[in-house]
Amino acid sequence: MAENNYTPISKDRFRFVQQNEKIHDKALKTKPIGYFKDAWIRFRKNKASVAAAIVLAIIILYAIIVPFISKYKLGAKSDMTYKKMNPELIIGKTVIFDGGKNMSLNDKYLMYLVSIGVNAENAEGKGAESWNIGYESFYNPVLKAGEEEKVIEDGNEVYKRAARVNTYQLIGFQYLQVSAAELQKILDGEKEMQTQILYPLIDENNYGGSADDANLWFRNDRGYPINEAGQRMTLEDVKANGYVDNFLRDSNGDLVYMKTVGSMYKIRVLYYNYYRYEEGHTPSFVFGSDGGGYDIATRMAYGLRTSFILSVSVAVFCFIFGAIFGAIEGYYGGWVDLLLERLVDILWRMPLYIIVTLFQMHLVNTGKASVLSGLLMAFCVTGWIGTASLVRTQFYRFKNQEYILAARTLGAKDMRLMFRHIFPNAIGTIITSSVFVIPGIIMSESTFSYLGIVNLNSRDTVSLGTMMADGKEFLSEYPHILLIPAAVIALMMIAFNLFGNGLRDAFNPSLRGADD
Amino acid sequence: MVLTFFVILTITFCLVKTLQSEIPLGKEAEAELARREALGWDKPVLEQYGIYLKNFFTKETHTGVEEHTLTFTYNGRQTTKKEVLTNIKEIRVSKLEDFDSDKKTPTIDGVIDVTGPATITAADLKFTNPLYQIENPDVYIATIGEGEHFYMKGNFMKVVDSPLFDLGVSLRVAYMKPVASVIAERMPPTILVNVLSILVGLPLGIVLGIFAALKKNTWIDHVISVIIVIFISVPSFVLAFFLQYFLAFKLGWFPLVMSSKAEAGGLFTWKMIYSLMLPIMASAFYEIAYFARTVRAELTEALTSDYMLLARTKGLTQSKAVVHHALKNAMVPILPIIIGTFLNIMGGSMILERIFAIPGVGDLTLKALQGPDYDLFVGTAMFYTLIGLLGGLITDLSYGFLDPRIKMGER
Repeated sequence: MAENNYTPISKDRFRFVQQNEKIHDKALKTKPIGYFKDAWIRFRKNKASVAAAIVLAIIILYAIIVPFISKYKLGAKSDMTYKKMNPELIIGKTVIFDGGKNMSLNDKYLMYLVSIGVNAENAEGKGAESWNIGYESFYNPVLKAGEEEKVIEDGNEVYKRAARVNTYQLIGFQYLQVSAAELQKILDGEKEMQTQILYPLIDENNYGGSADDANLWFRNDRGYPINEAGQRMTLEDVKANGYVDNFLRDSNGDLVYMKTVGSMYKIRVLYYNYYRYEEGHTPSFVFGSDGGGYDIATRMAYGLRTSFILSVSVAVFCFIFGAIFGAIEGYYGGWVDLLLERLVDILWRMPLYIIVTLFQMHLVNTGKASVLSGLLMAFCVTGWIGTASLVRTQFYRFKNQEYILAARTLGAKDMRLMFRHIFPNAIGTIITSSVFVIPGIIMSESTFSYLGIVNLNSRDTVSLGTMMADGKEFLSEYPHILLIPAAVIALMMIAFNLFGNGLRDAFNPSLRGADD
Repeated sequence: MVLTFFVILTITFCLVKTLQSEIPLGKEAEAELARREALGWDKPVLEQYGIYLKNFFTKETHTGVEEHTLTFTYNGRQTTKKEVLTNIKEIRVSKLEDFDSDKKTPTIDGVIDVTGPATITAADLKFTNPLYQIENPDVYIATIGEGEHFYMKGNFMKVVDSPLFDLGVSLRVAYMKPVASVIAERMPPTILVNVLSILVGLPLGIVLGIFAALKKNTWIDHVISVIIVIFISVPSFVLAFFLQYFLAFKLGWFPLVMSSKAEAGGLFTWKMIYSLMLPIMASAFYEIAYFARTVRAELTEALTSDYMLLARTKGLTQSKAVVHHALKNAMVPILPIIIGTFLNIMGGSMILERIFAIPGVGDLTLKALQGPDYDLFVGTAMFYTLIGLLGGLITDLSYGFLDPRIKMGER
């Protein structure tokens, strides 16, 4: 036995903790984690899903915001001159898309293009300076030109250089016919904007001047610049001596800026500046312009809006209707279930294209519904089936459990049992399945509008599918018209799938802790 | 299933047939209306539906169209002179072979009504039966008196028996041809593309899936998972555009669209298969991803099962255990899916066939919708519905067949 060597504690140091006090439950110090919070915590851990959610948010924000801030409006008349432009996005000095395309130029074409810049700066006739000013000019379409290289074309050796050419400046000068009032307005605009719009007319009858091509302002022989003696100049000559102009001059030797044609005036404008005067902004399409001269960025935003409005409405409908339908099936069971299941069978086995076409033919073509509402109804016919069968399964699982029996014994009505006691068990799966409805609808919608089964291409609606159908014919030369909407759809589908997967895992409590 | 099919058929038929078909105009209008009336297209919808069903089940001679190049003679002699034909009440036409074989009275195939103007031209020759039609008539006309002659060359079309089911007659896509044979004609290209894409996609998908499952949570698995997510999510037509632009336009490796039969020298030639590479890829990528995902999920589950532990304990090597135990069990849910996929080879993808100009069933369906070609619409719709239904049925049945533990319809 060990020796007792502690000192006894005196009695007066003890006291009762809760004498004359009642014991109550105390609020937990920690925060409770509910079903949704738990799901959120697990969703956050899935990096891919979070990234997908961010991408989706960006796309949705794009669809909401862009139509408000865009310079171009849906349904507004487009300027056909600037059709099939390449993407141009320049923020400050950072060039993201330069609006250019790759071309291979021979000397003749290079001189032709740079001459636009030379003329725009009025630098003609100043010898060596002229080329440099023109080349440095903002209006010069040639962004970058490489060294000459030998290429074989149709069996001939030709010298060409790889170059990057701005598609907007490639338009250069254009002839216009305007009334006197319009001309006055342009002159006023010129003063107000401090930029030159009107440029001298070309002598169409001499030195290779052309009535169609307003860019051939220099003396030329079939496009090759010639000097005063009438000899063709090489690139080096032009660089050293500049072009020789071929402007129309009156009897005093002054430049002529306008010519009367009937009651109208024929003028020659630098189209870029003319566009700025007409529209109030520079022509510049972030994702380029399509075959009709419309801004792809704006149309895409409207197309995404159409897709989102359609798919979200269908998803909401499917959520509500599918839940009610599945609840009735699962809860009552028996012959009700059997009957309703046959109905589901029939609807589910009906190919979607038939439903969509029939709605279009019966309701839309006869003018009873708009194209979009016809499509919406068609998708609603079958869209809810997935949700309904999920709810049905959940109801079968839970309806015979003891807590339901207890609730029923306490007098709960059917409705209360269904939506208060059983339904919350299924909420996670239902939300997930409704989210998966959205990409499916977007994909179907773009497929049907691409195929022309639904015509979503009207004044106030546009769809990514129709945009792609329009761009199909330009795929070889102007791929951006088709590939940009296609890439957005692809990105959106990937994001939706990753997001949906993350959501499914997050809402599945059986996976809790599985990945830790 | 049969009930489901008939309900869908009824709904589709009635809704399609209640659409107002546009009234033909011009010179041919009267003949066209008579033709439609002869086909029963002016009757009430439900009566039409009854006839449709009756024809489908009972009719021994199914509606179809026969084309012959015919030479008709009048009173046995032929002439090559272009003269004027007058005073004929009717011309009896029959097949050329019947004339050549013997002198006996040929079977009369149709009667051409020429009780019109005194002077008859090719345009005036009309069959009394509106279902008969003359195409590309090249008529040599002779003056008819006592015992004089008439000679005519041209294509002669008439609705005759079809070897297949009677599904009505196409109006727009293939004029007056039986729907069943129009669909049958379009099947080979569709089947070719689908079979090839399965042949590419199925082995690759399964191998990728097995690989991913065996190397779970390594970088190989992650790469395969990323590929799966991309190929599953990106719609096949978007993929088709990118393939078309980069592989056909930019690199020039493959042709842009399918070659025609004449160009490739038949449907089942290497040249044709080469021209179909892009559509095959576009649909195979989805199949690869789909099978890889399914196989990966099933095999992962199988690999962590207890029987695998037992197999290892009794001394099998890991590879033997995987092949003999895990893979076998993992295939039970996958095989029915594969069997179901094989039935789907008949249904072509509308959008891929449109993009790559494949003259298949999907393209036909689209044409029938755009026509609109009502009987063909109903025909193709039923075709797709049937494929879907049978696919589901076969998949369900094969579950029970492959795995004795699953008994269909058991309580």
